[in-house]
Parts: sequence; structure tokens; C-alpha cells
Amino acid sequence: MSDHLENELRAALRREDPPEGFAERVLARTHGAGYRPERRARRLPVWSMAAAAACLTMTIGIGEYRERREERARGEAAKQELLEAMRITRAKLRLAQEKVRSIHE
Amino acid sequence: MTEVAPQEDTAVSWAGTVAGDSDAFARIVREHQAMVFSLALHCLGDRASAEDLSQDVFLQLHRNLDQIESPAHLKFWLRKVASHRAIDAARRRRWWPKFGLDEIPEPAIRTPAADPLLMRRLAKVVKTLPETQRVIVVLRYQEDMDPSEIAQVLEMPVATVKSYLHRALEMLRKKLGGKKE
Repeated sequence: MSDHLENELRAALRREDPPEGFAERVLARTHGAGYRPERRARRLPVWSMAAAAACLTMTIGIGEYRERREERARGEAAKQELLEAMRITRAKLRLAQEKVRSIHE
Repeated sequence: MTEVAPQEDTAVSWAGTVAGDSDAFARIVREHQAMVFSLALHCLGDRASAEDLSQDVFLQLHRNLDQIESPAHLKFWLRKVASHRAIDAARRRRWWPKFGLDEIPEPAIRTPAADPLLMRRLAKVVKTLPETQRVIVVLRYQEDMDPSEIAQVLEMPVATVKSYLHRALEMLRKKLGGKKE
């Protein structure tokens, strides 16, 4: 298809030069402070993000486990101290009872 | 159709010559700036936006120079990136157009083809086409590309390109006064 309209379009849409200094402005931007020549932003792969999340979860889990274990140990020690105190008290009471009994006899 | 397939030896040597050579990059910009700028200008309609888009295309090229395999591939790449960016930019501007059909004066009589006023009017009417049709018309008549080349650049079937082109020409004829040649 080649008609008058197509010829007019070729004339109307002919190439035009960009404003003066275009190439220099492009080159200046390639040397600009904020310009990064890398092809594309480096993104962490999904597996590494998953591994990091797993590590974080494990760290938090281990910390919590240790805290609970120490708490349980402290509770156990307190229980043992209380039992020991009760044993001593019972022994003292028994001695006192025996002395009272010997005075009455 | 322009050959854009990789050619191993020339590709390696060409990329090696150009990458990191700012003089070579400057030559590339100067050689292709009119093509990229005009493509943007004919799609967007104002020189400031066209320059912004063109600069962005060349900056993208600078970041991807190692992907370019030959001068033919370079031309294909520039047309492809500029076309896609022009379509995106034109779509973003859809709701705040810089001009409309109402602003285009209706000529009383049909003027000769070389009339600069007619050329300007025709270019403006092209800018009223839907974005993809507009880019296809620009690639066809500014770059003199055939439908199969346009199809490669825009990554669409050749039949679709032909259909868009046909519809665009019909629309242009209608807007220009319904005269069929």
C-alpha cells in the first residue's frame, strides 16, 4: 500500500536532530554523582533471604529456650533450698520435742 | 529485515571495543540521537519530554553496552527500548495531554504535500492515535521499517502490526477529512 497519505506521513515524520548539546548532556549524566553503571540493581536471591530468615528464627528460638532452661534451673534451686530449710526446721522441732518430753518424764 | 542475531566473533570484539570507551559511546550517541529523539518526539509531541526520554534510553544503553553484539543489534536495541519507553510515557500522559484535536485548526482546502503547515498538522494528528498504533506509524514512516521488523521491536505478531497499521491509516484519513487516495 503506497498512497499520498503515506508519502505525507514520511515527510511529516522525518527525523529531527535533538537540541544542541544533547550528546554532551547524556555523557555528563553518565559521569554524574548519582549514576550507577551497573547493569541492574543486585537483588539477593530468594534462597538467601529464606536462609537468613531461618537463621533469625533459630537464633530467637535458641535464646528463648536458654532463658526458659535457666528459669527452670533457678526454680529448681529455690525448691531445693526450701526443702533443705524444711528438713532443718523439722530436725530442730524434733530435738525440741524430745527435750520437752525428757523434762516431763 | 535487519539482522540482529548474535555473531560470536564480531559480537565479542565489538562489545570489547565499545564497553568502557567513552569516545566510542559518544560516537554512538551522536550517530543515533536523531533516530531516538525523533521517535520520542513524534510519539510524545514536545521536545523537552522527547529529550528526557532519549537521554534515559542512552543511559540505559550505557549500562547495558556489554549486551550489545553488533551495530545492527545496537540499532534494533535502541528502537526497541525507545519504542517501549515512548508507549509507556504516552500512556502516562493520556490523562493530561498537552494538546487535543480541538487545538488543531481545520484547513479550508487541501494544501500541497510539501506544505509545512500540513506536515505539522499531520504530525499532530498522528499524536492523537492510540499509543501502540502511534509508535507503529512512527516506526513505519519515520524509520521506514516493514511490519515484520516492527513486530520484532514491539514483540507482537506481524498480523497484529499490520492490523494496527491499517486501522491507524484509516483513522488518520478520517481525521484528515475522509479523503481516500
